[in-house]
Amino acid sequence: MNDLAKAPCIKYARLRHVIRSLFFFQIRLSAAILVAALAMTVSCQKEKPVIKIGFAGGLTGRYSDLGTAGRNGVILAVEEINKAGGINGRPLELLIKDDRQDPARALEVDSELIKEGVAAIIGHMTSAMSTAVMPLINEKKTLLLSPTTSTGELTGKDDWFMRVVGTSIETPRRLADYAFGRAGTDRIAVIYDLENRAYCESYAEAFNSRFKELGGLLSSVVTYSKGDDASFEMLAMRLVSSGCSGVLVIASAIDAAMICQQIRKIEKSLPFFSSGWAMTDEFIQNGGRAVEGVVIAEFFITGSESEEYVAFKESFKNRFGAEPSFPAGYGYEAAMVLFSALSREPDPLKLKQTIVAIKRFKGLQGDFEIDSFGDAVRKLSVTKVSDGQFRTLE
Amino acid sequence: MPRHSSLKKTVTTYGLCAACIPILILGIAFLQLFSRSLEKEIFERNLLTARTAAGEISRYLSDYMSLLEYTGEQIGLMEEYLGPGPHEHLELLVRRYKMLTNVRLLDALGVIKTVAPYRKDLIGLDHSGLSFIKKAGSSGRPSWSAVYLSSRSGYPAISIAAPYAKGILAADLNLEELQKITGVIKVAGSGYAAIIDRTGTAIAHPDASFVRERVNFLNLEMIREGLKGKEGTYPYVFGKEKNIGSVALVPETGWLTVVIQPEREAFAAVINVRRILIGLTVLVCAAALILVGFFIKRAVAPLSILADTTRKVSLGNYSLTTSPARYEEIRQISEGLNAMAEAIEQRETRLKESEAKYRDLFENAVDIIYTLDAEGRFLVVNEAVITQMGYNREEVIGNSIAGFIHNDDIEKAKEAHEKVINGESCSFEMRGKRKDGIYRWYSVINRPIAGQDGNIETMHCIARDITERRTAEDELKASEKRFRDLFDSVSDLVYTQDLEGRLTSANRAMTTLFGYEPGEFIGRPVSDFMKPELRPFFITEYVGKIKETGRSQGTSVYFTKDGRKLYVEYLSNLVKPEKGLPYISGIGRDVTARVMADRQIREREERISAILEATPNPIAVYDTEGKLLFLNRSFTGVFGWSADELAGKKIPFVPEDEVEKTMARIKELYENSQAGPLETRRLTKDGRVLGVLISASLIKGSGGKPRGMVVSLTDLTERKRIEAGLQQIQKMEAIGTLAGGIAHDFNNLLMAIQGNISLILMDIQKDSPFYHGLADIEKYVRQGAQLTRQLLGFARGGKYEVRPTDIGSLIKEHNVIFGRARKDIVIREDFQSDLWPVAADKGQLEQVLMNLYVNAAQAMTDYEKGETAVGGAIFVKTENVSLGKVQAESLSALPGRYVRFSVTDKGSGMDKATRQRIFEPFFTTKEKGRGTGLGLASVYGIVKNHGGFIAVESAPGKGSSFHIYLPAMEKEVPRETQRAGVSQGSIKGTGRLLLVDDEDMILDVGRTMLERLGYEVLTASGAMEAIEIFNRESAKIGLVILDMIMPEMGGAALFERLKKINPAVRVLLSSGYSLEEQARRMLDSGRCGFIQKPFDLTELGRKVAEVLG
Repeated sequence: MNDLAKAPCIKYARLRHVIRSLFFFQIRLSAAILVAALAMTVSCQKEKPVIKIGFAGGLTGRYSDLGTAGRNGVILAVEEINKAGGINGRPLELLIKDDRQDPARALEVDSELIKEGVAAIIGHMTSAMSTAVMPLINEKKTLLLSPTTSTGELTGKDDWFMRVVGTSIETPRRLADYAFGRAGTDRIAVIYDLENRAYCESYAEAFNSRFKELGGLLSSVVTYSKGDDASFEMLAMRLVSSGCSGVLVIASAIDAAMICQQIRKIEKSLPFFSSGWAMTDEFIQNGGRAVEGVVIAEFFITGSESEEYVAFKESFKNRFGAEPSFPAGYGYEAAMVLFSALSREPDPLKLKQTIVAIKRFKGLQGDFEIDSFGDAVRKLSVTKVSDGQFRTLE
Repeated sequence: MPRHSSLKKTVTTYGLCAACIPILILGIAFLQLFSRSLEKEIFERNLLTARTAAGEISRYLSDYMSLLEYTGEQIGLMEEYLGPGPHEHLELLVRRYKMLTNVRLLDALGVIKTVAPYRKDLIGLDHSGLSFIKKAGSSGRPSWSAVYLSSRSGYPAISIAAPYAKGILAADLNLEELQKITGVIKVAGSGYAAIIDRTGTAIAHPDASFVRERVNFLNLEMIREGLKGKEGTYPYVFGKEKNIGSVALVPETGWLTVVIQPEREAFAAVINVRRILIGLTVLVCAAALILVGFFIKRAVAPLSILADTTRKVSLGNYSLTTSPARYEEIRQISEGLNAMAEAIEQRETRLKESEAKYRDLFENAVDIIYTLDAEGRFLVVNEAVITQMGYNREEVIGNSIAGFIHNDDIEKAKEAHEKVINGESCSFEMRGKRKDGIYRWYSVINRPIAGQDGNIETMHCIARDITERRTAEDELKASEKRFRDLFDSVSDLVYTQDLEGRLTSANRAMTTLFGYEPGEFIGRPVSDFMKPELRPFFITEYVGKIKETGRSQGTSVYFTKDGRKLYVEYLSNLVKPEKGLPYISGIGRDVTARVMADRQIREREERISAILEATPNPIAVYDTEGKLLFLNRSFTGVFGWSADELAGKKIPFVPEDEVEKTMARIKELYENSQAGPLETRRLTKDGRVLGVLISASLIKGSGGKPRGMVVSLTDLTERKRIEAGLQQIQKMEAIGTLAGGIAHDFNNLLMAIQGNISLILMDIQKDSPFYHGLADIEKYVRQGAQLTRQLLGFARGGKYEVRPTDIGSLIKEHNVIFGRARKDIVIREDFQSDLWPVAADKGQLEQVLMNLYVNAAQAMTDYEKGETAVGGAIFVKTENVSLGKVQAESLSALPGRYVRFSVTDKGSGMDKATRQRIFEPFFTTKEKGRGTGLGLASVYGIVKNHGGFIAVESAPGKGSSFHIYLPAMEKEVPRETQRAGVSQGSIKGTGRLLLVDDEDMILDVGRTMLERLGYEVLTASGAMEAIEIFNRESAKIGLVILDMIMPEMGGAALFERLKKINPAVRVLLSSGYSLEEQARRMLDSGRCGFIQKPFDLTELGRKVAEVLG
């Protein structure tokens, strides 16, 4: 081949090379854009609709310690499940409402939550609020799963109410057994808070019925409420002067501590009994030496060393900067029960029957069961305040 | 066929890129720089705002705390000087400072004394359980509670506690003000400030519901980091909005002030610039798109014409017509196509010429060349088929090659055929039949030829006649077999290698030994069977040496196929044949068994040598003439001689007077083959004499004949030192027990004297001639009691009152007292602060200090003959020491934490003999009448009793240092609480008492004393009698006075028996010994008191009244 023919050949080859490399670059560019677009499409397809759940409890006002702690327990559970990818890939959205410990407000917030389309409501935190909203809940067929409502008024009813706490019938009966059998008290004076009448009365009644069965007697029953501007000193006087050999205090932690303190000023060695409502650190801190020896029968043990509870306590402390109290634990457990049910059955109308079908749940302090009426069956413990700590007796 | 994208799209894409990318890069760079500087400025501004707010809050809180502390001080002063009555003060405080909703005064136990506004029901409540009260009480410093929501106001509140002289002043502070403080903080746009407490909960926030509902923000990274003390500005997402938050710490309470601003507001300027940039890019893209479209229209059309032209060329039409081109590149392509057509035409012509040349070569080749189809049929054959085999083309073409092959070679030919069909070339040898029926050997090479579809359709074959070569090879093989059989019959290893060391042959003995098949063996270098790390040496050392010297001999290690290790002794020679390449020929022998045996012997020797070197005892080995064969390192360490110095010599370490004894023992050893250990002395190289224990053993050769002896020596110096120390401790223990007994009996005697004198002194008037004499006797009895107390201290009769003690304060107090008494002595203190507490009896430690100080002062006075030395200074030092294992061992103590106090004087000092005896009771260096000899003895006893120990440093003329080590406690020293004083009221009383003592003199004097005090007294001289009386009269007996030490049954056991009779029995223990652990337990059980003998009437009266309550 002569040189004249070779030259255009080489030039042609170069041009072809340039065109080829541009062509392949373009292919690469197009492929990259395509992959990115595809990824976006896939991720859009993956984004499943959120599951809304509600929380309603008293976040402000007199029993806000119950409400805020319960809310925090639920928040922790929701954050954990969302971090783990949600329920069957669907993230959870938690809507929080404050019932202000006011029945009218409780109805209002539940209506709002139902309108928002929540799958279920975790709440309320006091028996008074839960009983107040039940007509609406049953009408709307929305599951109300309460962490701490323990009133006997809602026990054994086939309604839309369920709970993870045991009923306030078992605990007072057990406490009565202890007070009469172990502590040897046969005349007990009872004091309780009318603000949470549903819980307190149900508790006092169950205690009284068992105490009577055993041969004991209630020497006096004293009540108080915030509106009365009650002086705990006077109440203590009334209790002690009834000639009792022991006092049962059914009140919030701070109230119970104050009552014990006032009684101790008059009577140095009278045995005290109290309900699980008071079982928080505030009770011990505010009660000081006066609450040493107070006996409480409760399902939830503040000082439990079970592996699940220790892990929960650690996570809670990391998230909220403080140790969890019993409402936080119950709140967390209630959320976990709801998640187990939702993971099996997303239809809100079938949640109740799903929970009943699952029946046995892993709790923070051991397994518990929820029966066909939505009432929890849990192991009871008797604890006593000793050296500033709740210690399990039996 | 791959799909190509069009030039049109490509040009469009790159055109757009070229136009937009520079704008984008420039824009992004500008945006980055602009954003960063703006971000930094905004971050710093917001952080400054947060810090300012934190400072504001800090001042607010400090003001209230200072107010509370100041009030506390004032109340303290008021209570001290004016008596109680601070209530009005607190009321004033609450009235004046509205944010203080409740102020209360707590006593030291945390119980409310008074409260403002006044509420009677709160008085007496116990607040000691509240953690902030606990903290203030234990630290003595103000403390803050956690934030809580006030049940009254609904606002967050905090409680503060400030300790004051007699308790704690606590107040509740309404934190409503925080909401106002955050409200006035200006943050641009919709930004705002908030306050978060230590748990991450909002305590001030523009959305008041966050505060009321105690919303926790610990899930935000900025809050977590802020609470860890990392102040700064952090971006975060809340809800769906991006924000930036700056956090600053409020030091008093650990709260955070947070300044929040939405990112869209903070970075509005950046966002605007970003928008402009995007707009600009869109414009540029549009312009670029139009330009590119115009270009494509003009450039792409001529390319289609060129494509038609190329198709024509492919069909063989080389006459081309080129169109005029608008662009240079297209013109070049057009020219290129013309050139290409011309070139193809020329190449076709040259191909034809080439084919003719190759056909000529084919036909005239010497070898037979033919082509077969896939079924083995001849397609083409060359002329050699006719000339060499006698066939004509027609007889061959179209026939299968199998008809021309010897039957025995058919299989081989088929295999070769299969291979070629599978695409491989192959060569083989076979016999082919000539037309005349004679078979000839042919070497055949077959090569596959693939068709257009890639399948093998034909094969080109070349066959060469090799009949003559084959005949010669067969003869050679027969000869070689004979030699091979001979080679394999040799039992040694015989081999040949090439000059790379590869085995070219190996006899059967060799393959069997190595476990390889000959096929696996031959061709591999011998180094393959060696350790990998030795392989390089094979080439350098073995092959290299043979090449250089012509031979190599030695032993090498190899591994068999199954991993067994072999030692082979070999001799290899270089062979240079007349023809061919030089090679290595050699023989070898398996010597593994021999090598292993040698090694075992060597290892045993090394083991024995290591044992000898490791043993701490000196060991020497002698021959039968007593000359040294070996000595170990310990020998050199102890005696100083090294093995080299003494090799073959006798060791000059037997003292003259030990020679005979030593020789006798050596003789015994040689005669009886054994001899018992010998305790003797030996000299060291530097002339010291050591006590040693020698044991020896004979070394026997074959036939049991002695070859020498091995001697092991134990240095007894250390053991003797420990034995001496132990003896000293045992001696001290024995003396202690004896002293305790003496003190007890002596106390009883003194008791009787003291009691009687007390009684007499009550009866006589002060002007009686006997009064002063008796008073003197009482004084001497007290001195005697002091003496016995010293003795008891030494005898370690128990601690008195053990409680956590700060030695530093104790010594300081003591120094003041001693300083008053001895103004001529200066005490120089060197005290460590935060000294650990020790569990100690204050009184006993004071006794220790007193004795040490008196001793020190005495030593200095003696030394200077009346003038104290170094300004008469005693140096006292306290420090915390942690003794490690080694240090503790050196002091004969247990490792652990100790508090050490040292008392040092620069007086006369002590020699070794004195130092060894100073703790013995009654040992004194002082002149008669100046010392009892009990001072240091009691120091020793007390310190031992406290679990401590003493180290003494002293030398004549250099002064003395006594270092007292007391074990440190883990707990803090609590503040000493004031104990209820003994009633100073009447010492007289009434009631019936039982006095139990085994000493009649005590019973007598005790009864009289008690009767004098107004009691009715029953006495019992032993436990049994006491039980009997108590059984009978327990209801009437108000108190039993019990001697702790009695024969048959001691006070403790008796107390238990009495308790069984009457659990409410009250007992006063009395003892000549001091209070023991047993007695202490009794005291702790209540209704019990203790009195130390000897006691006087007043003391007895008080104690009895105290126990009776």
